[in-house]
Amino acid sequence: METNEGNIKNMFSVLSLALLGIIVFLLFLLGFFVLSKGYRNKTNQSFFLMAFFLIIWITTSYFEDEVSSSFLKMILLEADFASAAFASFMIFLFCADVASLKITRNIYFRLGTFLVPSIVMGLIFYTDSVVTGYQTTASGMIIPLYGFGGIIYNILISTALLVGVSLIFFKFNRANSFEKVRYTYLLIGVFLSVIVSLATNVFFADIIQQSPNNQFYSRLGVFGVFFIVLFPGYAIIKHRLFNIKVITTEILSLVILLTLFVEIFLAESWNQVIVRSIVFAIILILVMMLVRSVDAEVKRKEELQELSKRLASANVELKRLDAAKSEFISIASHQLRTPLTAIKGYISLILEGSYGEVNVSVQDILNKVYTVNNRMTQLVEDLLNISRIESGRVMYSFAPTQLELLVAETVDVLSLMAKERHLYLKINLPKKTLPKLSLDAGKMREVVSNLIDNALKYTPEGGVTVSVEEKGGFACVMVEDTGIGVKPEDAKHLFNKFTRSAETRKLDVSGTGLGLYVGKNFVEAHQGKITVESEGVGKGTRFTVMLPLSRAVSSEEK
Amino acid sequence: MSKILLVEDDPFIAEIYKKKFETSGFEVVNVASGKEVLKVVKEQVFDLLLLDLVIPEMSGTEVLRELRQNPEYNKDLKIVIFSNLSSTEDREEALKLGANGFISKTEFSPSQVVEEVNRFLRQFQEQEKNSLHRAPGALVGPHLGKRLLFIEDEPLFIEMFGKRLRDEGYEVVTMKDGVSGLKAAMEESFDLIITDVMMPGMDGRELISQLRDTEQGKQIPIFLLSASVSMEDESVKILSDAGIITRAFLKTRITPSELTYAVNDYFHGMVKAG
Repeated sequence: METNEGNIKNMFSVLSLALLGIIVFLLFLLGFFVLSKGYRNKTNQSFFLMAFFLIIWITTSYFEDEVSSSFLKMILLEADFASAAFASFMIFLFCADVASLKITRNIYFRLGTFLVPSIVMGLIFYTDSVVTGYQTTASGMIIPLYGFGGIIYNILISTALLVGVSLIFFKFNRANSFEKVRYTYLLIGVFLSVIVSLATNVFFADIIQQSPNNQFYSRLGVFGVFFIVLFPGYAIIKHRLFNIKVITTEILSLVILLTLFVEIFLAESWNQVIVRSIVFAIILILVMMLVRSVDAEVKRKEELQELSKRLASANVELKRLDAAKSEFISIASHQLRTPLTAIKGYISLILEGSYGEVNVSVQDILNKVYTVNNRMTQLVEDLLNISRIESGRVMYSFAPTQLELLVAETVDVLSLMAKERHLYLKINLPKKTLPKLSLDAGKMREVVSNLIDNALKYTPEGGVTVSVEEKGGFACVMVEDTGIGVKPEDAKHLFNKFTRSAETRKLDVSGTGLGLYVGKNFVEAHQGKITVESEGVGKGTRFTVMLPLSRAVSSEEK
Repeated sequence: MSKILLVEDDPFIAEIYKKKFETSGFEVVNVASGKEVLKVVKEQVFDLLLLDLVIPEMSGTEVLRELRQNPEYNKDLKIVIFSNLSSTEDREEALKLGANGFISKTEFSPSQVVEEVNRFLRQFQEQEKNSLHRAPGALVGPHLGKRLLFIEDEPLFIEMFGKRLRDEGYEVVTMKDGVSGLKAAMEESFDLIITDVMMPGMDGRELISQLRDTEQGKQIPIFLLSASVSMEDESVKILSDAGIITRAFLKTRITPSELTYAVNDYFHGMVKAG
């Protein structure tokens, strides 16, 4: 029985040494990892220093009980006190950094957080003002004996910690939701550490005192500082901060694991130890899997969120740009009109002899300038029309219109152009008269005229056939030419703004590439469609405007 | 009504132009050859000869030379070359021989040709009038005894349109913005107000609605000069339809002389109606 008890006791010291090892290792890892994420970052630096001094603190406070040499015991105890002073000031500095206080940028402030614990360290090692010695309890633990400065030492450390934590609390209340998450981590870490140390030192102090393993439990309190480092460290590493659900999952899992872990040590028999260890191991694996899967999902979600956020902002930016462009065109063409009007007016006055007689050849040149200026004016108005179309400010006035008549008139107007270019221009009208459609005659005429005009412009020989017919619920106007044709890859973009196929650029330089775009908009305002077909380059083109017969106006209405 | 002589040998094309000109109020005589031109101009008086350079029997250049160098023909006949040939050499030669202008056939649609011809006729008419004014002993300018108020924020336009109206014989008071324009309109008496639409401070529409609310501003005729892209511009159309403004013009489309003619027409109409 006695050997059994001794065995268990031995195992506990092995376990607590192992726990110390794990915690020190993790703290070390965390500290370096955070530092590696950006060693120039002040918060990362203070985090690393905090972890470093906490490692020294928990190590010294562990070994001060374990070593047998009284000389070493005293050295370690003094190192324990000194490192606790450093650690608390580093926690304070870290909190100030996280709270992004302005003063943290001051080098003297940062040096001060070292200087104070350095002085304390000197006092601890070279005087008896803080610790004079120690007592050993029955279980082999040491209790420090304070000098006259012990109380000041305790107040100093507590103040540094309290001020640090209050800074975070203060900032937390004023923080926006994004910053809040950052402070939450720090607060959770501090909170858990306090809970653990309170549990081990206050609430269960009596139980622990009486327990044969009081040594282990009292150390658990010391090891609780791990949380202070763990959570903020985690938060720093994970720059993308999770939503609160994941944090909850992880904390809950951790609590369950800890409970199970502690339960192993409360076991009354070896059987129980084995069973609970197995349960702990299984739960540990499950928890790890759970956390990993949640983590993976959160990561995916975050990636998705990030993507959609980027997409949304890109979209907003695009819309803004498009609106800005329309606005720009509107303003620019407005500004452009003033000089154009002035040029037109003054040239006309010069030509009319208002400023004195002008010889005929100068008149001829001025007439050319006048014509070019008019073309420029037209161009500017076209641009403005585009911006009107895009901002939906075009007004349509629909009235019952006989489509055949409209097309025939347009063909008539353009027949001269065809004649001059030695092309034919034929028109085929349906045998059965179409019903009158509700159309904006002016805009429709512009569409048809533009199509025929284009067809004539881009047809070197042969000619253009315009047909009107009823097909599948639509009144169709087809403009077919024997011209240069359209490449399939150009056909897709033909109805876009400022698009001109490579072939048209060779033939005619005056087009702006706006006609078809405007035409498409006009036709669509009539719920219609406009399409283009071409067998390919040099094989002619056919444009079809389709207007729904549902726009027919019944004879009674007229 | 202006009478023009059109030289065109293709009956189809000639018919199209003839129709276009006639619907715009011209009287058109069409001949197909150079010989015919020389014959017809002796018999009738034309405001303008539209001469193609490529015509049967005699070339356009020969016809032009004959018309200008043979004293039998009236030197006052205005000749505008209307041709597919429009190289600089062609133009220079024609102008040297005494043509008054040049219209390149390929550059203009039939309706634009009519516009161009109108412009040329107006130009010739103005040139004549201006040369008369400059003749020694001629009047500095007629005094029509009409006062106009011209409200416009662009100094270039004040100068340009203002000069032409004053040359015509109108007294023109100019104001640079809506507020001072409205003040002037209420305090002084004018026969006509011409106002811009887009102006800093008070714009033309507001000016008009405020002016129409006053006793002295109720009846005064108002011409609106809009810079807007089209006459469809809703508010202008509404004002125009409701008879609140007398006429509306698009700045980019109107020359100073055209504005002046519109003002003349308005006062002539008043005289006739009165």
